[in-house]
Amino acid sequence: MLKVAIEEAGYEKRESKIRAIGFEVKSGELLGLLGSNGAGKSTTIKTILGLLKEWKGSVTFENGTRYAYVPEQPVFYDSLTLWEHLELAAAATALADEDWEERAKDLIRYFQLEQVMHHLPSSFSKGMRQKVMLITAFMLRPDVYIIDEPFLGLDPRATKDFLKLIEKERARGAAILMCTHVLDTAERICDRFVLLSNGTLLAKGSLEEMREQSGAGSESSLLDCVDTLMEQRL
Amino acid sequence: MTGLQLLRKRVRDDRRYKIRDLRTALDWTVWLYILIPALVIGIAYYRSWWMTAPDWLAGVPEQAAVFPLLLFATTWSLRMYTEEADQVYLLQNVSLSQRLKKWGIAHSLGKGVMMNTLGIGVVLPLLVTGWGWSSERIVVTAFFLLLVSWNVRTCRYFIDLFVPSIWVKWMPVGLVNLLSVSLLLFMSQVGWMYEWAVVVGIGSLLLLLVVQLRVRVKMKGTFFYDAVIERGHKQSITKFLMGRVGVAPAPLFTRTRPFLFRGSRRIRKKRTPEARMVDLYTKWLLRSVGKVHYYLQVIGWGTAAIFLLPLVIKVVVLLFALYALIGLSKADWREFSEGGYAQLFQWEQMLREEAEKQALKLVAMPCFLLLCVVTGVSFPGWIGLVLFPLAGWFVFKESVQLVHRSLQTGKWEDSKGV
Repeated sequence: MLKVAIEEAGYEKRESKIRAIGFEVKSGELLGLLGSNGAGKSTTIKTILGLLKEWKGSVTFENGTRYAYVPEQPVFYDSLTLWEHLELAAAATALADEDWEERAKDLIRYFQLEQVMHHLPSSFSKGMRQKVMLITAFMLRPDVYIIDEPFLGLDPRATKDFLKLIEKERARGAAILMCTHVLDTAERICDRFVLLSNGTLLAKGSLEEMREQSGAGSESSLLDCVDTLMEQRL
Repeated sequence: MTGLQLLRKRVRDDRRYKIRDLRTALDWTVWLYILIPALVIGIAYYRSWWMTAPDWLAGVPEQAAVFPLLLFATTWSLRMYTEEADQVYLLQNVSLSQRLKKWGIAHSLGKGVMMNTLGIGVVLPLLVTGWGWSSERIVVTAFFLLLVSWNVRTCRYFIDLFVPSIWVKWMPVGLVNLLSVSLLLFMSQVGWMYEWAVVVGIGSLLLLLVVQLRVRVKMKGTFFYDAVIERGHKQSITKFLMGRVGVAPAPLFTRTRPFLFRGSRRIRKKRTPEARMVDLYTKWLLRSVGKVHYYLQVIGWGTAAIFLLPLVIKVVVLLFALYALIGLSKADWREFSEGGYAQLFQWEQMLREEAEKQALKLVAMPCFLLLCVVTGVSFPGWIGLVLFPLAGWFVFKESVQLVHRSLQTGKWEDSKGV
């Protein structure tokens, strides 16, 4: 559904932050994009979303594929309510009222935000804001989800709810690219991983393949694999 | 470092910051085509006013002079020149902190003197040749204007501090302005002739000022408020030039629900995606006080200029207003449609273009047509009233088409299409 082959990308001309990064995300698959701070995860996501001017390579969404992005830092309009944000997302993607209103209400209930449906998200807590980002994405039912650090600010209950929805969407056939530092959760839910380091691809594959590539034991966790791979790189 | 040295350093930094901002906006084209011609025309007009009063002055009552004078005289603010970083060191040094505060106040009052002198200087030929004011009357009015402006700005500081709600604030601000205008009207029309009125007036205003300033100097717990206000002053030019782009001062309170269209109710019943999009854009715009303020400013200044200036200049002003209104609308639409939230999903391109066309007309068109009607009214005979709105409507439509095409070209050049 999404094929990424970035030769190089950066924020300034002749100053590439990431190089030679290639992977693909298939229908119903959850791919974890891993890496330490400054490894190039956010730059990769920005390149996929078309937010960078300076880049070479190709990012291909399968024909007619629609995506939704959940950013690490929630973004809002100061003067639109939660419901109006969802209305804007639905209008911009040309959804008819009957195609989104019920779904939006269900999601608002699911994430327990009914009381603040007509409030301004700028007055929300960090976790509530993150929930609005998730509701926006799930309401649109895209073919590809691009999710950047979804667990930040979410309480355990909301995290569980989010993971349940992710499973549902995978079952529907949606492809998910998720960037995270929470390796134990990633190990549990992701099908495959892409590990970045210093702007380049360090390893990719399933947990088994990561174990093989790192040379860590067959019982080792994702954290052990990542740790070993990083140390080898150093 | 003494309080005065610290103040000097901060004033220098402040000035440098603002000059840098101005330089980025005022390139040579702005100087060549707008500022220098405006300056030359302005000086020529000013010189001519000293010879003979302009014709339009005959229709303006002399009492009206008080309004622009007060407006101009109160364009400065009472500043403390504190910075957020002062909590690390300066707050612990109470005497230095107090001295900075006092020097800051003195500097602000000095700015008041400057603005008063400038304001009086600009209208002086109108007062002397137009309305025939005596020098004694002008001096008394100028002195009262200064004292009133000092009091108004100090009082405004307290209002901003104690009344954070912008919707409640207008009441005390309005009351202060009403009292000030009444006092100035009285003193400039009648009071200046009576020595006792001048003495009592000056004494009372000075006493009021001293009391207010003493309260301000002794007041504690306003550090963060002062720092936020200071940041706002420092970035005032950036804010003026770039609207909400850049670092804005932290809000004094957070609104949980919007004050207009509560309950997320739609403005129109039409349910097409474009209609919903334009509805949401309208709500976003109307709920942003700062944005509405800009449109009102263009209308206000445009109306004043159209009424006061000669015929040819009226048309030039109208064209400038068209440029400003379309520019504002274009910038607003861009901010709305390219904001962070709008990038979380893929927009339907056709829908975006259709909504964009409607959005460009939405606020700018009524504002521009209003100015066209004003021009028509100020045009001799009834023909202007028909001609200007009709021509304005046509010119606006064509300009929007032009802008729409240029926006699209820019967009496709920028986008890479994933």
